[in-house]
Amino acid sequence: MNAAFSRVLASARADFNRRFVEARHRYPELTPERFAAVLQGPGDALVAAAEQAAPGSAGAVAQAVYDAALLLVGQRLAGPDARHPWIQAVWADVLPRLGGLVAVAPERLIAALSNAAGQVAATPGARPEQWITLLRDLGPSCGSVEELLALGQVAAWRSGLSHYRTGALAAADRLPAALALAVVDAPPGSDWPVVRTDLQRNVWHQPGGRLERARLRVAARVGAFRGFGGLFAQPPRIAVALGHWLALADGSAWHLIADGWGATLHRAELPGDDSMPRPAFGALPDGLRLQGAVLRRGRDELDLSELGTLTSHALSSDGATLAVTGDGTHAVVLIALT
Amino acid sequence: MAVFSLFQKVSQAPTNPQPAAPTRTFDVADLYRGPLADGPAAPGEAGAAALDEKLRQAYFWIVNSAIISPHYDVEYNEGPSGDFTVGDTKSRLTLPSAQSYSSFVLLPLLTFATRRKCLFIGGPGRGKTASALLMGILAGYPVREVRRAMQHGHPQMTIADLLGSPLPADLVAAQKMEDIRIAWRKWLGLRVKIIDEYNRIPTRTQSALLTVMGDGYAELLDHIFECPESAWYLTANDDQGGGTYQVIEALRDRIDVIVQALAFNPRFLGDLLARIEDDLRPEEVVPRAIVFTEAEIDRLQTEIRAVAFPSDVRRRIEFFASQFEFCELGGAQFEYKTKDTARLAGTDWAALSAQDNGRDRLKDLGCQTRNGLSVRNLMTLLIYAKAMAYFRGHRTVDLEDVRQVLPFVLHAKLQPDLEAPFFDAPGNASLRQDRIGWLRRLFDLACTEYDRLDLDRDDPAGALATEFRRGLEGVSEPEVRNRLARIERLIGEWARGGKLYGHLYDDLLQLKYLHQRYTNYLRWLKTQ
Repeated sequence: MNAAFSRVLASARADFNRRFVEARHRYPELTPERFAAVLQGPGDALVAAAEQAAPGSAGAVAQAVYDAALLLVGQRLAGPDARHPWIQAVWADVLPRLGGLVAVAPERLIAALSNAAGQVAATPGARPEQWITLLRDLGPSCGSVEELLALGQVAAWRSGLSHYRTGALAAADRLPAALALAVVDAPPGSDWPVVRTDLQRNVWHQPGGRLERARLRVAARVGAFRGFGGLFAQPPRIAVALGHWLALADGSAWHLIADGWGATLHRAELPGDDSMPRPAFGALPDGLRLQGAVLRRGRDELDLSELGTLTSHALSSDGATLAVTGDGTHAVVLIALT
Repeated sequence: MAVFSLFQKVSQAPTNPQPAAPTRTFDVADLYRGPLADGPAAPGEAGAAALDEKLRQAYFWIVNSAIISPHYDVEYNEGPSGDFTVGDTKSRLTLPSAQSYSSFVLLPLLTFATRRKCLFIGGPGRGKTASALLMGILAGYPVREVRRAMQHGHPQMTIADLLGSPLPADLVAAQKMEDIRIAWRKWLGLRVKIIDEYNRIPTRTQSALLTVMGDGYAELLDHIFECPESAWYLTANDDQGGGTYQVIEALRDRIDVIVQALAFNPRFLGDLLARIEDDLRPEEVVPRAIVFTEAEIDRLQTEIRAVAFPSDVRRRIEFFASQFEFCELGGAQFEYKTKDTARLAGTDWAALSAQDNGRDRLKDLGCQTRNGLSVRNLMTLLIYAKAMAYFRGHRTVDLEDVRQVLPFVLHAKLQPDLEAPFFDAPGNASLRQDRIGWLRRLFDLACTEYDRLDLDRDDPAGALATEFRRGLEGVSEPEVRNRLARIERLIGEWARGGKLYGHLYDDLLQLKYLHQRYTNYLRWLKTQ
């Protein structure tokens, strides 16, 4: 353990010990061994990095590290047998690279990034490793805590938290243009306002340009059978309620949000009788037609036979996506129309 | 050094999560919310929080961190509950399917929010005083101040001990009473008042306490001290008159709710041991996030009063309450056929009830009690039902809220007639001792009877009253005569029906009231 951290711990040994005892009351699984593993590993590295970047900051950082480690290890969110590795990865790979910013607001930054890692990890289909990589690579370019937090929000959107799309776009506006372009994977030297407009206009647009030209294509499959870790006990149906997609299955409803970087489902209250949607496979939007199991638009075609008998469809409010369900799958299939 | 205590942690997660609306917005700032708090709350942040949420946070902190209280006797269900019958006497154990509560924490907290008066009863060492102490701390007072302000009842307690005393120098020098300054006791100015073992206070001192409790002021030598509006907590080891002094009736009547400190479950002995070993005192680590300012308590009261009381729920309370006061042999004139008439006359209750042989005494709920409900009781019931709904995050009272708070409000108010046939019926013997269980059963039986009579849909007296409440402006003479005829016809029909029960008695009195109002109006019309 580095000297600065040791000094802080030694200077208030009784108080630190008391905190541990109190924490163990709340979290019986908090053992000295598991706690020490975090404190002596990533905790120690973090205090050392902050002290190196801002001499004299070890005291405040050590306090924040100690308190956060108690809670995270107590809840098995960090430590040798943590429920997932991502919070500890933030401590090990991201925070030490941000020593200078951590020294400015240790409690805030440690809490924010740990919470965010936990949230990205808990979102089905999201990519926590991508979020951590983005923060690890781009975080040191941030000039302030606020900038870093905005970067984290945009990175979370890009890593699959599509429900944060609107707020993340606003957060990207607060970043220096080069950083904003980097986090959305736009080619260096692009014009941020142009990239932003494209992103806002087309939910399936990806600045990296990996998607093919606009044609009928399955952009995402969202949801899975509950027995395989998904949310749906029955093949879902899709409908639009008050301008938003609702996936309905087995008497429950989920709010479905999707774009080029991910798709997320959020439990929703079933609408009242008056506004209760009636999912069905009715008339298709203009320009689309179904021949057998093949969806056609002009010369474009898309085989939907994998869905079985089609049970419902709903067009997104911006007209960019058709959501389709069938009795042969527990996923909602999203067809990009742009 | 940062002050930190996990013991002081208050959950950031909603304490009473509700399903999300079909249209919801997502705030990217939520990305950084989670188990770790990102620093101390900004000034004013707590005040902006929803107070019902703060109240629930206080409840859950007390239940989870302060009081080792494994009892969940205020049961709510969403859908079917898990019911089991256990033992030879078929004891019923229910596993509630919705968030349920411990009355020992919940009722004192509702008392805090409504600034009413709560009595803790139960054997010594069950946490009554500790609970009251926590309520003082929730109001923002330091632990030491709350401890010092707590009044401990004892047989030598004088009015001076309770209220204060004149300054000795002034007593000698003063020429008139106004010149005597009074050193008022500090507790009188607190917004949470705690009287420990109030049944050990001598009767004369109890009378002084009654003025403070009932009227909110203290009086000594013609000097008045106006007390701020307060929540009161009293404790007693025994509420059945077993204290050193009999508690005066008026003082008992001022108490709004009674909660019993239930027995400690030895299965939780490990928690007690850990608390001893770690030298933890919950009252010293109450999180700041659950401490209420005076303005917040004011706002709590305003918001609780604003909780809506639907007429169908109110009607059930009316029906329930009308069961008890009526006593057919209590008086000769119709209005005086009440238990209170008999009580005031000092009539022997057993002799009176023995004469009452015209009705089914098992079915008539009124036969289970020796008294009726006062206006104060009903007002208390209404306010606690609103507070209960508010605590649950609702803005409208539902019937279950009433059902849950009613036994605690009426605990010492409705006196059971333990000789009533109801208590001899199979399975009811234990209700002689279990006042809470009996009152809840009583309310359930009243609701069952209300449903049987189909009063939600067929309530002719209610319809006539609703018609009257629309006002008399522009009502013509023929219409008044028509209404009078309908009232008389209805009374005639009921008179032919036979037996008189409490709810019918109150309906008949209401019809008489309407009849009188219409009669007076008709008389006025004739003069125009």
